[in-house]
Amino acid sequence: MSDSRWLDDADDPARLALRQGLDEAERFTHSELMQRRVWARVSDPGRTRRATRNAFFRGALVASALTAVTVFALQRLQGSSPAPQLARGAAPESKPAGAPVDQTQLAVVAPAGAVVETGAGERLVRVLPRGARAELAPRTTVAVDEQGRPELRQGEVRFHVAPAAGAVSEAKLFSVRVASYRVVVAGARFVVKAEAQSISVAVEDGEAEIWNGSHVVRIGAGETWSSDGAAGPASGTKAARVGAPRAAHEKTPALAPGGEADNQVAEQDREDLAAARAARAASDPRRALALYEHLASRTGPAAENALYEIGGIYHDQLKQPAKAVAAWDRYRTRYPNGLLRAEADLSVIDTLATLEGSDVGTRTLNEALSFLKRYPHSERRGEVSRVVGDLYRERGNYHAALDFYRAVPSASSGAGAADADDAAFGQAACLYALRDDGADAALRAYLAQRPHGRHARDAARLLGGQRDGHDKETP
Amino acid sequence: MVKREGIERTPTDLAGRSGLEARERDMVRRCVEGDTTAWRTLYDRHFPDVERLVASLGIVDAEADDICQEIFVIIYKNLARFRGEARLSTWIYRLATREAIRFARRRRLVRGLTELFARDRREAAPADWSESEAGRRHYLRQLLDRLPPERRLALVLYEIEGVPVSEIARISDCAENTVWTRLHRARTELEKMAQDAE
Repeated sequence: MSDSRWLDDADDPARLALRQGLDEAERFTHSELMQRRVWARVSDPGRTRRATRNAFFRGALVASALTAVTVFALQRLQGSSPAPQLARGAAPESKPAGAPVDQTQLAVVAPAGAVVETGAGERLVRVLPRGARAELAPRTTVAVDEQGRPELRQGEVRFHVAPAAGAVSEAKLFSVRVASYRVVVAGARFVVKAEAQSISVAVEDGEAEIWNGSHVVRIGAGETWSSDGAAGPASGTKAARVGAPRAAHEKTPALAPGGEADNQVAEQDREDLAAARAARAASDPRRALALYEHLASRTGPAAENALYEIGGIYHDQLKQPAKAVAAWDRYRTRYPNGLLRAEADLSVIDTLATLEGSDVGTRTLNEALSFLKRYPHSERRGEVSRVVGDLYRERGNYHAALDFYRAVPSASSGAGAADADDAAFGQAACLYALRDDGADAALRAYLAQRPHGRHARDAARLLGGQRDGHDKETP
Repeated sequence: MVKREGIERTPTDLAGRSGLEARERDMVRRCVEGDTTAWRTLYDRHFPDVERLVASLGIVDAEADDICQEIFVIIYKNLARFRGEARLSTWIYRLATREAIRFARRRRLVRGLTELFARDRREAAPADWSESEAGRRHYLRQLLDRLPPERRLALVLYEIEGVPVSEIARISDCAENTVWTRLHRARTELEKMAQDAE
């Protein structure tokens, strides 16, 4: 190969511009957030199905293509103008009044400029530009503007918006206009209702920001907000949390849609995130911390990610576990249903488990019990159950410890093997402490199954003590 | 991993089986047996490569999430068939490339149909596309969208990411000569499209 690259010696402006474009193109940057997000979906592959949204997307596209073919053919037959059926400013889609609800119909794409209406008893599913899915309740009107943004004019719509990958940007946000409000999400399932006197938003999954002028309210999964005829979101009667309005001069939330200023904020977020990662990679945790703190002072996914990463820096690089836990606590307070909530919970347990002190032990126990309650199917339940077992055993609550040790899956290899080993010995030790008749058998079984186990020496010692008829010692 | 002070965990004993391949086979075996930690390790190790492959094909945002999910579900379901005859990364690339290109082809087909019937013709290149960085970037993206997925993959990896042809051949599961051919055709098409736009 020669040293010169393709088009380096081009002699016309178009080809030179092409080379320049390739040089300027953004190189691939790995997204840790996306990695975590996808992991949440494939962590239990036995139960994971292939991407449902994608299957839906394919179905919707096929349906869309078929619709387009049909329309095209009809137009040809009728000799009508070949203008697209759902062209800008087109009349609302015709709908059979009082038609029976058909939940199983395939969704079609509602392109920019479309107006979609449902009649009494009619429901429709439409895929909006940017891939969002809209389920229209009866007597609902949704218009899609030229930029592909929907506006709910009346009725009720449930939106399904897939989470955006990577750093947040305006292009990745989904915004619905309803009266003077804008509901903005980065990825959520939510219902917007427009009634004569009020607007309401209910979030089923994810988070949404409701904007009115410069005021905004943010609500999360399971929460609702209603304008109730009032002037702005701040006075919404059902804003379940984060109800305080933010003045326009405050930091612009990352989800704020539209406008040059918002684009600049998103661009700034991207740059700060990249700088923070670079500082962390360059072993400059103080600078990384400052950048992440700055990002965390904003809102949106970038802020959420930054707040989580702050804990990681304190823990991994600055070796300040207490501050790490405080940072993850901040994360959990601010994002109780955040994308990284489970990771934050585990990080807190992980960190607390390395600290000493009776109050720390109590907190670790409470955190671990909360985790098991919150994530009963977590892949890490065995590990956390073992921690709970250890903590109960330390406190002399052997019956409770036994319950949790028994919940640790048996594993003969991998990292889970160490927890299984600990739990097997923990069970035998608890039985020994309880002077249970089964203690001897449990200790023997431990030694037989794990002759070189992590606790083999302790098991042999306890077994010897028992055989010699010595007083029981606390294992 | 929750660790306690004073306890050191020993790695899996691989005595008698040396080298990366043995470790990979062991990891795969543990995944097949349902060891979630091994599965997490495999995922963490190979996700960035799959992500880059998907991004090179212009699949971004929620679509990228979906396709990565599909790829890893497929990988998991096929792990039992991994015989260790090739490196695990090569085997994963093979599955991932097949799925990602299939997805990109479908999307390209549907986009073509939409353009054909909705009369939403391709955006013409702005007259001054070559004069600003934003213009060049935007138009380059449009041009890349028009390339068949295999050619796009080869061109993006080689011209933008700087990946050597031997590596692209491994990623694309084809011969190096095939990569050169794809690269040549992609370049020719891009040049033609760029000149037409002027």
